[in-house]
Amino acid sequence: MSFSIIVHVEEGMVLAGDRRALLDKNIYNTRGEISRIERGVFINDSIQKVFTCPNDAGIIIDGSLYSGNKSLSLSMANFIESKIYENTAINEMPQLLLDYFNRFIEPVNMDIYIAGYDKKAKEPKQKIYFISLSKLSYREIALEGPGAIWQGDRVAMDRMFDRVWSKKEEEYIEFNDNPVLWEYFSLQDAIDFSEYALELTDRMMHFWSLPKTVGGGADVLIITPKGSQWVEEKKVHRGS
Amino acid sequence: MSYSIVINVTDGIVMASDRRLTYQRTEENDDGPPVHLNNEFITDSTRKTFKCPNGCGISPSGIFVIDGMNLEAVMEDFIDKNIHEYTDINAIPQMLIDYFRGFVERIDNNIFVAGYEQKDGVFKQKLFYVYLHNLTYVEMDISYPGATWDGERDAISRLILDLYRKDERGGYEPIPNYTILWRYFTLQDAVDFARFALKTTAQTHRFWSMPEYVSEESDILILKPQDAYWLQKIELQ
Repeated sequence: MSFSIIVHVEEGMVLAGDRRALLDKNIYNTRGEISRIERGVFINDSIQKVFTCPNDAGIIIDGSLYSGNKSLSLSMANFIESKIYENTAINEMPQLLLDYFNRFIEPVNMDIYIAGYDKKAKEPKQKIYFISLSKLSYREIALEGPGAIWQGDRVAMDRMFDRVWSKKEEEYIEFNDNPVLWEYFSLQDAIDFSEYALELTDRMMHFWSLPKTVGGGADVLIITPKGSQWVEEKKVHRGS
Repeated sequence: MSYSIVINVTDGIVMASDRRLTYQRTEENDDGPPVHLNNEFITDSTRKTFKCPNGCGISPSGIFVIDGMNLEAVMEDFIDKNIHEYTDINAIPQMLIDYFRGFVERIDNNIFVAGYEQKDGVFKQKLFYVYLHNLTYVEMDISYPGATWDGERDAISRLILDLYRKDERGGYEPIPNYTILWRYFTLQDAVDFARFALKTTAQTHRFWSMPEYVSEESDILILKPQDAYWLQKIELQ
């Protein structure tokens, strides 16, 4: 799993995601059958899940990040390099993605979000698409004003920002609802919120008794009608 | 308002609180409903966790002004006059009640009293909760490791408690909850959780549409069977 978030406000969009992939190992018995799955035997904290494209759209990948032994993060980088050009329209990208990953022999259980601007409209218009590679389908997410979409290990953020109830004896009592005033968010607020969301999820997964599927720092990309820019991007570095 | 948390683990107790005090008032408005002025005055230097000479910790949260005085000074006065090296922790809640009976106001403030009781050479963790609005107290059951928090409780309660959301048919369905294995927490894990709880509460308030009642600045007190010390205490500068 992973955690990623898209915050879209009037000034622009912020795409952020963690960098962790938790890998399992199958243990086989003498008959060659899988007798046990060892979860999290290898932690990779340098998997890129947020991508920028030559047409200034951004892509987030989530879910299973390997198909067989093939890194889908690398596949996504290859897709962008070979299929997306400066003048590719954002609304063409979902089908391009489906066509590209449909040719893979091994199953691909990855979800993808595309965010950016429809530059061919009269006024640049924010667009977000969700693509399910396991179902080979996509849909455009209707944006009714500024807001945020998060996915992956979403429980901490859902608990914090959804309407929730606790139960006392047989009575359900609603928690105070203090909705986020997205319409007043600046782009900086959107960046701060994205970083807060990643840190909250990362820390809460640390304290919960769960496999640590979120971590490795964050990549944060901003997209405005003028272009895209990394606010935070993990680079390869010399090992210690 | 405030946020304070007490975490008891096998090898000690962590008591932590924020340092924000906000002054707010309601102003009459000739042209419409009254206006509540939040954050008219904010100070991030109010101490809300106190170390006692007997190795206990005291941490109030809620309204921080009583009879026109800052509660920080009032608590220091209480400790100076009432708590000595050999004061039994079990006696402190009633001492607090007797002391606050001397004030005219009954403020909406709850006080944690935490530490160790020593009986026949055996140390036992203790936690009391004193209600100043009605001058009563209860002893909390902390026979197992865990955390207790008060003040602006919502953010951390949302992360820890069993919660429900409404389903499409108007019923309630549980939201996944994952256990926190308090029994395996070291004292360092407890400190990390206290810091996380304070920071998360302060940062979440920034994004919720509500006044920011909690500061990220905090005091952290460690209570051990025969020792009490500050891990973090903001001093005058």
